[in-house]
Amino acid sequence: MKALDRVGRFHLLLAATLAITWIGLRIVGGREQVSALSGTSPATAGAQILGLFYVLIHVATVGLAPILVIAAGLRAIVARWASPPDETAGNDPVARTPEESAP
Amino acid sequence: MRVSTRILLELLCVALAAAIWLPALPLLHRPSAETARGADGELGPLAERLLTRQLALWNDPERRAGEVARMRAGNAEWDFMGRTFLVLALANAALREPERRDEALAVIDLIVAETVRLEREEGFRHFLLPYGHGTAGWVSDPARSIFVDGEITLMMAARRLVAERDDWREPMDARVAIMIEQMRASPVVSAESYPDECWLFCNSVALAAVALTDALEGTDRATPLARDWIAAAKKTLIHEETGLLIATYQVDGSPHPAGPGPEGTSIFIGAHMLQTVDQELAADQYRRAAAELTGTLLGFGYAREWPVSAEGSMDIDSGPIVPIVDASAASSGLAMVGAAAFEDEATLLALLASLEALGFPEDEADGSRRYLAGNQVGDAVLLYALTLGPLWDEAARRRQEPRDGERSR
Repeated sequence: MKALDRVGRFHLLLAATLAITWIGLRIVGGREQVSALSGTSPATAGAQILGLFYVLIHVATVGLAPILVIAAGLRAIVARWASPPDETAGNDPVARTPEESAP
Repeated sequence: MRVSTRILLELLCVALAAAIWLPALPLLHRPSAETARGADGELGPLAERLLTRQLALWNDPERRAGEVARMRAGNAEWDFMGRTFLVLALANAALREPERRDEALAVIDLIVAETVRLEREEGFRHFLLPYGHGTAGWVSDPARSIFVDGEITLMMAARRLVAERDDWREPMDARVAIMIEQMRASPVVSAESYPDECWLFCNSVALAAVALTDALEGTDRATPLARDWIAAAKKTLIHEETGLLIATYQVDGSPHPAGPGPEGTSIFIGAHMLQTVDQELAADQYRRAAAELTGTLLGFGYAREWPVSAEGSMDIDSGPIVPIVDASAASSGLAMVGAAAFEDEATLLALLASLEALGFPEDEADGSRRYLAGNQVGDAVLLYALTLGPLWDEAARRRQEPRDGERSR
């Protein structure tokens, strides 16, 4: 995480939030209520909403979360490659280690 | 680093990440050809799992009743078509793997017996949408639906092509005679499924049912019927812009408001059924349908319900439509039957990739599979797509036999 700046950490946080929401919806049974996709309505309106929300989060998690994680990794690589280590630390206080921050 | 450079770098990283991940997604979901269609004429693992589930449903009346009730709440036709596609799949499975024959025949007999009982006790309208329940508007007198007659005859014929049932010969013959009489009464050689509403789907099924009955009986009622139907269809039922057969029309041949243009939920099955009577027309219709209606997005296959030149509006047949690409779950499912029937492996595997990604497959400990996004009829259609072939081959072989004999005489 030290190699990541604020944007990189935001990417990871968003990916983690999506994944946790997806797991949570799965635990409460959202996956079993997705039949509305074929026009077969689940038993209740609440189940239908849960199912459709699960589908949206599923698509976002599977399609977007890995992109965010890969992008965060790429940013870290580019940042290291583009700037000398001491210069990077000096320019980005978020990425500075406690040792580097000490007087 | 300047702000503009940083923003550009951010965008480049995200774009590169997307370029790495998105092409990998369909590859992660796409089954191999062997998984889908099997090898050496045997069922593939996917078909095995679906078959296990379908057999379990029909061998467990309580579970079956629950599944049927869930479907009938939305569409009574799904209950009926789920039976037809399962019977066709079972017949194909039995012909592919003779060791499955006894189990397959037992379930086919159960399905047909229950379907005929329901038709007798509740009337054919039991399997129709509510607007077909009334007595008004039917052209045929007494009212009959070729949707019901055609599929019941096709189910019986499929069973008899696997193993003969002498007690079904007479009722099948009676149904075939009625279907032919009704079709002949129309200038477009088509009978109604709903009041003054003929469907390509149902009339092509009826043609296939007559052709399969010919194969069993050594008769040739399908050839003249199909010849006249095709002549009328080419004259009246072709959509000008696409060359595709339209989905629904009145008994006099006028396009019906319910589906005046071509529809994915009709044309893929229509083309497959026409294989039994006119291979050339069938292949031409599939080629056109695939070109007009199927597509891929990021490697995932889909089928539209309507071609661009004949847009329709979402209805109970199309099911929900995915915006932008206009993909229809129902059309995509039936497109798998078309793709399998016409050996369009690329389309079939791309459609299966979408199903694996967004169908939410659920594998059970007993080795069965269902798709949570669908229902029994959806699973039965997929199972049929993954098993089809031997039944049509067997019918063609038997229809050819007497003709070869005639030539040798």
